Amino acid sequence: MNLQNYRLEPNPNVPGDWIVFGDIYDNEGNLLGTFGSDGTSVFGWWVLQDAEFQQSYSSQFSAIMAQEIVAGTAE
Amino acid sequence: MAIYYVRKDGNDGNTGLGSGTGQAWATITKALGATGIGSGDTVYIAPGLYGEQVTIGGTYSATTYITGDPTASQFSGVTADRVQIGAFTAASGATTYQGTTISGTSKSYLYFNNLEFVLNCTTGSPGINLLTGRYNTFDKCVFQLSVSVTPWFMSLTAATSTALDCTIKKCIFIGTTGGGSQCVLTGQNVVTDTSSVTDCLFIGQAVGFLPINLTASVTNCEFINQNNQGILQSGTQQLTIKNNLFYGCVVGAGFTNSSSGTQTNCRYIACGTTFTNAPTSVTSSAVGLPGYETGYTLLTGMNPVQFFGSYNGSPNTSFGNATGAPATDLYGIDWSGVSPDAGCATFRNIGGVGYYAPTERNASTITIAPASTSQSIELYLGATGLTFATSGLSAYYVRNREAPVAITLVTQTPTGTWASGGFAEISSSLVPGVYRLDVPDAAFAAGASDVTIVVRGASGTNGAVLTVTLSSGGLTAAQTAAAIFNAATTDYTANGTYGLNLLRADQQNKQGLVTLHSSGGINRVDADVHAIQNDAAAATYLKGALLHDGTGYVDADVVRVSTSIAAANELEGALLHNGTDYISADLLTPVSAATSVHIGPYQLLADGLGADQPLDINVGTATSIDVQVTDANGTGIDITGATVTAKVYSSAGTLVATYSGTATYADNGRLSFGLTTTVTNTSGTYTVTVTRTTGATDTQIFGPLRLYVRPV
Repeated sequence: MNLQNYRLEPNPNVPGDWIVFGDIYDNEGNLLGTFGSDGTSVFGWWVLQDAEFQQSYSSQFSAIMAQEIVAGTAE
Repeated sequence: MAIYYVRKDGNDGNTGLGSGTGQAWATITKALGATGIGSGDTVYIAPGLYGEQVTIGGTYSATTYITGDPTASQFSGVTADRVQIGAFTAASGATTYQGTTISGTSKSYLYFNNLEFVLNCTTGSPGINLLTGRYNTFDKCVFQLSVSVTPWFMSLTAATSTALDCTIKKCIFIGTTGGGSQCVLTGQNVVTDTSSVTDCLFIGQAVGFLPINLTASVTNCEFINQNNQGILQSGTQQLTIKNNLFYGCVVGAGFTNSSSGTQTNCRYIACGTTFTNAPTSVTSSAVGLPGYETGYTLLTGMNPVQFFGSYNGSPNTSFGNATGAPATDLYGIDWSGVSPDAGCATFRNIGGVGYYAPTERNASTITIAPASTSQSIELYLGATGLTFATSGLSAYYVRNREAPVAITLVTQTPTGTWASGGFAEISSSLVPGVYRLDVPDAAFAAGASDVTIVVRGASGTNGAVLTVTLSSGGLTAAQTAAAIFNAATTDYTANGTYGLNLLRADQQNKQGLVTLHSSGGINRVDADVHAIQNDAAAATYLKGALLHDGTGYVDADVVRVSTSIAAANELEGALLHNGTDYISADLLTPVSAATSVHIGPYQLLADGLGADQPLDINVGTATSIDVQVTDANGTGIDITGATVTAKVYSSAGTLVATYSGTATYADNGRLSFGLTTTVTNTSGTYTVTVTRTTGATDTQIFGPLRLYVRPV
């Protein structure tokens, strides 16, 4: 899978949120989908996922959070 | 271009110019400081863990090498080991700081190689942080972290409007689970920037390589398990990626847009997203096995293969393209296939790969002939300033299977006359650490196969061991031949020696076989000359040469022999004779092929005919014959006072008769002679000549004139 026309933009309406733009292709060059003409909000997409998915990635994310907290670069 | 040395047991108060403890520096901080190495110099760093934070203080305008010496090939008394620089002072201890290990501003032409960086850095304080520098290189270095933080391992930043032109090659970056980037190169949007990253292995960080506003290339690199991107481009300068392998990265390569670079011959395996905004590539692939060795061969007892290198039959083998690619892989091995692999390491069986442990520099072997006397040897002790009286310094020699014998050291100078036990430092500045020792004659007495000499015990030196093989031979055939045939003949001219009898040439490269004969009372020299020198000087040597056997001879006065007309002209008027008969030749113009030969210009004419027509005489006739002798134009030759004789020869050339001539009109060359039956009794063809003789030596021959004696 690869992304074309990919970019991230801050969500002007939700501080801390980001909007993902781009087209999603498979490795043979077939267009599989897009993030939509207005992109997809990370926050908005995240809350739509099931609890197991959210727990799995929160577990990974917590380690990064801990590092940043210890390093003093995050609250 | 001085060479400096750093070793853990050195001292920053030393000069740094020697590798011994008494000369080498102790810290990299000193070596790279304001009073350390200069532009174009080299500093060798001995094995050890250097827990330092180094601020580069020098100024460099030519390539300046900071070289780890893990094999300790430059150091005496140091065991081969890793050369580590970073935030540790003990391998099992805590880090001593968090932040930058090596920093510098406007430092260029630095070439770091063979170093292992053990870092505790953060994003704001990169492990290596070189600002506004150019032409810096990292070669065969390893970067790893002590703790999981969000670091930049390395950050090189170009000066405003200036290219970065850095080189990162054959380096290994081992990351953690933290964020941050491993190799960050920041350019200034200079399109001609030549920065490159080749043959590198990036494992496990957020981003492997982050080029910012930089024209750069990434070739034959391998990115494993990068949490974000293997390569993340920032800015729109051209990024060229080629022959790379991405495995297990969240994103393999992230471009700014599809026109901000090129990608060819890359493999993206098990990446969440192959690439973003990348230019299309028909030579890249996202299918197949990862193709690199993970330890399976060691686990199963197969021939072991290099970790993270292609295994036999890997899809990475020959996947790359050779144009612009490095000739060898991360470990300096030629690519196993016809084209480079995808990734940083090619297939290699490492079962037979050993390691290099250099011989201790102060342990060596030389050869001396048995029973040699007054022998001096040179030893490397490392430390400078030692004398025969230095406390603790002692020396021994040990003949094989005998007890050590102490050598009593006495004072000596580098060039003094040999004295048993003499000990002197040769030059503390030019060859620091090297000493002369005059070995007692008893050490080299015949009867032992070898002698080992030991000097040790003084502070600052690990001592020296030198084994002397007692042998008179040992020369190879080539060495023996060279010793004989390259010897100067002028050195061997003593009476009674073969050297005296050598034939000596005044120039080189003359071949010849000369035999001296003495037989039957005759002495001679036979010379077999293989080459005659083709120059005027050689010909000059023939001038006046005389070859003779006592009677007959050729007396030649050859000034010069050549192919020119001028040379032929020298022969004009040459005379060949045997005292009576002769041929007088007057060659005016030599020709390449003869058309006619004239023997004399003189003719014999039958009188009354006015031409050299033949005479017809009947057999048995005795008659007077009138003839005229003329020159080539038919003009009569004066025979007044001359003796004229007519000779008649048969057709077989036999002289049949000789007749005295009588002048009938001497002024005009007319004469007559009486032809007798001695000739005419036998019919046949004869020739007649007339000899005109004036005095003892003035002789001319006229004719021949044909005479037919016909049967009746």
